[in-house]
Amino acid sequence: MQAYLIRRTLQAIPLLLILSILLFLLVRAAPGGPLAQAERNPNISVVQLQQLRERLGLDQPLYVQYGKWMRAIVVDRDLGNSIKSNRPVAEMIGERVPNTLLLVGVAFGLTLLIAIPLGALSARHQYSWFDYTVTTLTFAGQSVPIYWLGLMAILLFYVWLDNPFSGGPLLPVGGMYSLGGKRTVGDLLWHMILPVGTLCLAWIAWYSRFFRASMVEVFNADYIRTARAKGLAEQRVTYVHALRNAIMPLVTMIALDLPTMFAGALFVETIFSWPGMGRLFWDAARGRDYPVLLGVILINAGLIVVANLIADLLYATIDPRVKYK
Amino acid sequence: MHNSVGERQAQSLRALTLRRFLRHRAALLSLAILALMVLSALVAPLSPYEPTAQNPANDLQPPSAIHWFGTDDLGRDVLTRVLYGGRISILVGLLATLLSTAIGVIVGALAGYFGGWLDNLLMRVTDAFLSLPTLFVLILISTMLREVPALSLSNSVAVVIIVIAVLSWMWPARLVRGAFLSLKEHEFVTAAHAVGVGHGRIMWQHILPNTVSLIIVQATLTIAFSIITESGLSYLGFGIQPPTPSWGNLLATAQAYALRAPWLMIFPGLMIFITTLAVNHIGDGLRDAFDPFSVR
Amino acid sequence: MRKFHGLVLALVMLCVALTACASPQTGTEAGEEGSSPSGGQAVLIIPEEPATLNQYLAVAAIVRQVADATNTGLTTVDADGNFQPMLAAELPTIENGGVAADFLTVTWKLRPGLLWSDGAPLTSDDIKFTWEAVSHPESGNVLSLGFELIDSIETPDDLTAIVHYSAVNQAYLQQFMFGLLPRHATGEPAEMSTWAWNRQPVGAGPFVLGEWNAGENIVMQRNPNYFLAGQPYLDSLIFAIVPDTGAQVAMMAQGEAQVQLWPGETKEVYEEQVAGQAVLAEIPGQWNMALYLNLSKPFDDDPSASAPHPILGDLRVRQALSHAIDYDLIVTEINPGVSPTVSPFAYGWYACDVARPYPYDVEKAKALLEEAGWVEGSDGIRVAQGALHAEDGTRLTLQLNGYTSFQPLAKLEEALVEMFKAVGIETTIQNDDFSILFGSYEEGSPRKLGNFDILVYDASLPIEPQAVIDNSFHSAAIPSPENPSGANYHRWVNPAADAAIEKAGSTVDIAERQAAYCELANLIATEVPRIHLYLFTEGYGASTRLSGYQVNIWGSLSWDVQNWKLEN
Repeated sequence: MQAYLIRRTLQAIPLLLILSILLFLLVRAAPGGPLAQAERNPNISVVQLQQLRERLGLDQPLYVQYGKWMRAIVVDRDLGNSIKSNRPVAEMIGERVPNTLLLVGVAFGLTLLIAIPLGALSARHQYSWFDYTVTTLTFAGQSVPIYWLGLMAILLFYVWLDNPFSGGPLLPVGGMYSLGGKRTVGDLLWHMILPVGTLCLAWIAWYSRFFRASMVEVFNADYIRTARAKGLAEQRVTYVHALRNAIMPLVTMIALDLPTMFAGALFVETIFSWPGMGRLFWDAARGRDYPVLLGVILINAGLIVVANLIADLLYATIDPRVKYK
Repeated sequence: MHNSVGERQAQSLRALTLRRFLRHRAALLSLAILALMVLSALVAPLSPYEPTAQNPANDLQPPSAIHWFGTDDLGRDVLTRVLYGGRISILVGLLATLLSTAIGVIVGALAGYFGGWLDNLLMRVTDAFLSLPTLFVLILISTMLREVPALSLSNSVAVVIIVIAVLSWMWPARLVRGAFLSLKEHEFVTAAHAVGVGHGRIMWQHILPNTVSLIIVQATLTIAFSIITESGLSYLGFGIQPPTPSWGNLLATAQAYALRAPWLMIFPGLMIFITTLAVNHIGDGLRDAFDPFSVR
Repeated sequence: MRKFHGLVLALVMLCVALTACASPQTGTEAGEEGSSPSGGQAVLIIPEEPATLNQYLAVAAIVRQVADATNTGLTTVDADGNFQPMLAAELPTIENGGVAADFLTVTWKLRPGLLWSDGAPLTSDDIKFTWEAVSHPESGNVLSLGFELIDSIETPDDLTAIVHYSAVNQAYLQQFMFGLLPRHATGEPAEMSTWAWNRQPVGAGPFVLGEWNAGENIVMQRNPNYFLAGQPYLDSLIFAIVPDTGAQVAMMAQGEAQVQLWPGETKEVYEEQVAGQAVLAEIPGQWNMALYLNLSKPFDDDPSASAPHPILGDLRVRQALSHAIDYDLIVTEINPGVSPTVSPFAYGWYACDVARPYPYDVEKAKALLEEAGWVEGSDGIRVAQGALHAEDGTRLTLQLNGYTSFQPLAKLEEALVEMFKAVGIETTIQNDDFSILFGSYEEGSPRKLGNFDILVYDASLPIEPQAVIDNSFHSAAIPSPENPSGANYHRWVNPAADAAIEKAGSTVDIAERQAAYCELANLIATEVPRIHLYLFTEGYGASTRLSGYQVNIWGSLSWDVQNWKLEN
């Protein structure tokens, strides 16, 4: 077990290195470049454009550019500067990460709070009308494209419904705080309602479904039957024995999903103008702002590698039949 | 009667599964709805309107007796476009799932069965695909595929199918790998080894059939994923190219008119919603039907 | 009770009458005083965040929209295209001795008593510093304003700067238009791209940066040291960054914002959407939508004009394409509200009036195609039979290549598909991301490599067009590995056009240059390397409470923000 752990951790390093090369090539292989807007600007001459290109090192061979980038990261711990704004990438990411964490964290917390009890109750009362209702609702949440949901939410809560007190829109749709107002926690929470709600709808659906299936599997296990046969109260059976065992696969799932959740937040961040990592990545991707883009991608890849490692370890601890040579 | 005992048992297992499925009311209803969807997509040519017939003077009309779903920004009948769009979206959903499942099963089976370094390698490849920024995979694959003349017929459809498959094979792969990992330790496999059955046959004839239920359930999820992803791709401009309608690119165009002509957003979105919901329910029904431990 | 009401009413009316009599002045003429500030805060919606407030580093157009509020230069261009003095006391001309007879010396005189926003005096040394910083090879400057033509700048006193040129700079009035840089508040010229000033500018504009909340908004306060007394009228500005158009319009409709940049809608539609809270202030703009035809063979790994395009290489086919387009329909129904154009010279001092030589005529188009050897096939799409450059049996299929995420363009493309279908041409649409279409040669941009049939996009000309025109139409400007920055995407080789371009570049005489450009315009219209369609209108959504603004295609959103007023 320990040997496996050490081996996988050591494997992670060359993996990250290979990943960094692959991602670099992938990003650069895609056609297009960062100076499209400059090209379109009538006030920038062809000569200036060429100078700009050289200044950014874009005319050098790819392996040179990769080398410079990697060296800056490993030796100077410097992710470079954005092409568009010339600000340090680390600073830009650092500004946005808390906002995304807030959004994703709160949404995820709410999701778990609602999904686990929903899943457990559904599993307890399988095939009841409760189960069917929850199932339908959760499937509904999974069956809509998230951007559609977001736009519908704007239509409904901002345009059509009015705040009964102030006569203005019911819920805000832009940014983290009201414009020109004080940046209070209350204001922040008010602005979080729509984006968090949109995210939750999809996630609750997925997780409650998954947890229900997990619980059902556990309920049918031998040890549950034993517990029941021993005469334990149904509640104790559910909450003590079954829940504990069903949680493990869920944790594995969460560990795997966490990094990709940031991607799901991307659409929400765009529609509700939430200044987070997702939007940073998106703008950098469309505009081919390579330093920012690669910085975000690298961090994301690193998180996924770590998450997978944790997930695999958890999986190994649950199922002792799985042998790892 | 030449049925062996085994075959008779298999028959009744199938019958049992079927009966369990039929008792799942939601799944039955969903099956009916899905059939309705497919039927409506098939009868699309019966519409009095052409999906690409423009009438710009008549643009953005709300739903009425002559245009049940209203008209779009170029005066085209929305209902007709939604029906034709259904053909493409459902087709893409099915084919992408087929491709994705095929790739996933092969990778997962190999990884789970042989284990060791092959498993390690394949799983790391899977991890790599999971951590790829999907936008770049999209851009790269679609621009690469565009250069291939053989795919020029319905170019964008083929490209979208391949892209979705590339984005989704990882989940069936993981699932199948997990199943193979567990199943290969079972006695029937050891027995087959002992008798001298080759690896290929063991995987294909012995282990795989036991994973079919898992695969099918996952496939229904993938169909749902494909339909939604196709719409996401069109939203970004990488999906089916206009003027060919697909539910995805109908939504993409509708976004610009969200406040002015909400019916453009509502109907395609509703179609995606209903179809995906139905497919999910069917998958749920199948999962319960295949599960030998289900209560009913 | 009634008497009381009557008294109040009378008082109110009196106040209204008095206020109406004291009509505020809204001029920007030097020295004229505005009336007392109306106060208030204006929220301006922008779709993306500016990377910097230093216009000399600005690659994206959004920077200028915001930066003009914090920094003012020696001159500005008004809505009629005429230069006006701002920080300068007057425009230097030959008559007032500001410009030497040989055009190689220009003398600028500053207004007296100018201060930077931090209170430090603004002197001619700052003009000199601006030149030093911007012309430094490592500064990161992207604007081509002719700073390299300046030999030296003398500053005999605090108010006078004498600029000595090594060669005539036709754009001398524009040179210091984008703002002066303060020596005391910036840093070394070589480090301009990393100055803290870029995100926290000290300028001479009407507003000063208050807070910059990354990704969310930029808050500005009134500059107490602004050179026009009593202005700006507003107390503060907030530039709100809202990327989603649906959310933008919703905010305008609810009155939460007062200005929306680039709404991308027609007037009636927009005003309907914002339910009377705002109007769309617009004028014909600078962005000229055109179809760019590839005259050479595409997808053959050869970017040059060597082999002709199998379909578009024949002039008759190009003429037929031009006849097939319903120009009126486009301007009235497809992209309503735009102004039709026939040539790239659609505005400014070089504007040319050219008649469309091949107007909408479906029968003529069909006849030309038949003559060119394209006969109608079984499914309505033409097939080559004796065509000039195409083998028999080739289908008449063309691909339209535009950019994504721009609904008016997508709509135009779909309309064109139908128009071409009516004459037997099959058209497919393939849109690329902005950064791909407008990328460089090395980055694989299809227009640089010649891998396209027809491009559709909008482009604009600067106030001094020679460099752009030369690089877009001269036969020596075809992109290639040796000349990757060439922009003759249509691969057009025409000696008469070359001659006209060279003539326009060889003289300083405005009339002669304009005549040469009009000659070029006629050649473009008749030889059809491209088909110009229309000019987008430019403007922004403005709240009905806002006044004092004027849309200016030569300026930016905030070019006259010191004149804006907000009523309650």
